[in-house]
Amino acid sequence: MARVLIVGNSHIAAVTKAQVRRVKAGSGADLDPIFLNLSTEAFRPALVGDRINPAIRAVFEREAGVPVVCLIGGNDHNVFGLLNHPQRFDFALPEESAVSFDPGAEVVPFELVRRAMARAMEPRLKLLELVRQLANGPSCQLESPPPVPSAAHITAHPGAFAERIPVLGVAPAGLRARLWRLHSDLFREACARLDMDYVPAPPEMLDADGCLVEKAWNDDPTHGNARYGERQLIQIAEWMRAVAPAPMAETDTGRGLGRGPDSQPATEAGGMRRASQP
Amino acid sequence: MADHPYRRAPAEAFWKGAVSGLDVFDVDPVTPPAFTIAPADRVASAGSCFAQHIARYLKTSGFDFLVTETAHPIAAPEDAEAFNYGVYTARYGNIYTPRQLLQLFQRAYGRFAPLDDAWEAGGGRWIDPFRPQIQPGGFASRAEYDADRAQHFTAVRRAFETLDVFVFTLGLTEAWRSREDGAVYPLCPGVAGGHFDPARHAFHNFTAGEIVADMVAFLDLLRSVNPRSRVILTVSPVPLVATASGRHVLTATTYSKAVLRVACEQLVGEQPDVAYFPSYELVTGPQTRGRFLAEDLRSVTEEGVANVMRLFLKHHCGIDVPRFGIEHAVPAGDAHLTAMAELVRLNCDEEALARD
Repeated sequence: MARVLIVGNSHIAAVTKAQVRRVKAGSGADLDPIFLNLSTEAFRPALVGDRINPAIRAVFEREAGVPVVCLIGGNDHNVFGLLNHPQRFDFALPEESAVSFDPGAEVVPFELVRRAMARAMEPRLKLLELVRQLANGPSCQLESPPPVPSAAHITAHPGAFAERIPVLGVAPAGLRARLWRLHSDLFREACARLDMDYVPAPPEMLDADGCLVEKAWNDDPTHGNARYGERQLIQIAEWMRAVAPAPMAETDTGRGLGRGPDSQPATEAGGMRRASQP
Repeated sequence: MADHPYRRAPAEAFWKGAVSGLDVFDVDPVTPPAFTIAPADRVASAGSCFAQHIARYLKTSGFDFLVTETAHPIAAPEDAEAFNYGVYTARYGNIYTPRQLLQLFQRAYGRFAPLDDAWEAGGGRWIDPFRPQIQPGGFASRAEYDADRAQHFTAVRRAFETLDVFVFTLGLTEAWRSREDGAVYPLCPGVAGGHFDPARHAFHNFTAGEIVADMVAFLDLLRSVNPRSRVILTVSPVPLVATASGRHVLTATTYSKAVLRVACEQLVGEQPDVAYFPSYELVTGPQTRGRFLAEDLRSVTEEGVANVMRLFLKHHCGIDVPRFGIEHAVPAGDAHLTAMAELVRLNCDEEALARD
């Protein structure tokens, strides 16, 4: 089994759920993931000033050399565009050849939106940098899931946005997809600077418009579901094979496979869950 | 002793009593203005780079400084400024010559469409030939450029139609224009975008007559959409950074400023509701002994700008401002983004802790 430290904020939930399902189903033995959920009390706040929370550091020290998969941040684009801004706006990505702007929306220069998004993402990118410094093995950041295209689905599963959706309305899917792509580009650039791998969202989880396919919709407005997480686990395994071939070779021989239902996740320590360990 | 007109001349008519015998801050060459600005008047601004200082002070002096093209609230104040939002009433950048101002009006109202429509800058980026430095790196795509320019023209029209007072700072007589249709560029093609082509681009040094004619044409157009508008003209004290006239840059500057000053005097004498404010004299007059010019002998110091604006506010607005007594407001952040960030955090907390 390949040991991997999976660290992240809310998007870690889909992967965790998927691993739990795998274990329950008796599969998933190719990975031995340690889940470090930054949203749990033990690891909050993740940043203490410019430094990382000592509790997080301790996990990395304990798991020294283990490959690190990050799902840090991943929702700043929703701050900008899940709902209509009171002063509606739209923008074009530089690579878009044909753009139909939201009628009635103010067109904002791409570079201005990019700067605003980058400013909003600063704490997440700082955290990514510090995590990268702690990881003395290979590391990557998984792209956050693309937006759910359906306003009806978001309205039906409004989560924390229940009061605002009737007032502002869900933003057009095209704008949300553009914001997500910009957000992803900023993470991709950060990973390049930090010498980390960047793993794009699973292509089959994107529809023709760059939004999340329906089978991956979660019962909330901004996250992928366990099926999405399942596909990410496959990506993680593929990435592991690419960067750390030895442990996966061990898996390939069959050792560590075939965990039964009794191997369900049991170990949790302040948000740190070893999903495949009894 | 024989009588003559100078016996009854006021004190400000005499150099010794009005200039050389006074502290630089007591020299006040502003004659009673033809009109004043009330606090409720919407004041718009345009012109050469010195006009930016005027706009900056008007914005922070309790006036209704008219801004019809603001940055979207998601932009941080420093980014908005870098993209030239709020620097002037609309995002037109520096307007150095009356011909440029006239053509801006004509373009905004669809009366002139220059053949030189957009400059491709490589990497898919586009430059507006008529505001080439309006945002860092130019526009990210042609779609963005076209949409932004349409919004810009809407903002320009709204400015001309709703302003009460228009402060225009005349900066230069030298310009480059298209040989094809006479479109005047704020900067020579090739300097900040585009490519200079002597077959397509020609140098022109406007005469006083041309300056007056262009301003009169503009004033006629402005009044056609806004009959109550009033105009204050100033001449920028900032010398030419370079000349293409073949003269020494110092004599070229003197010529340029003299032409603009003559044109202003003629316009004030011939046009109703047009006033002149002596920014040029206040910064470059001998009484300053160069005090208001920075090390480059070109930029105006903050002290010099403050002195100009102190007298502007005193005479045109009836406001007594102590030296450097103007505070600059700090724009507030985007309340919507702040609220959404909190909701996203709450939603993510719920999801992150969810169990399947």
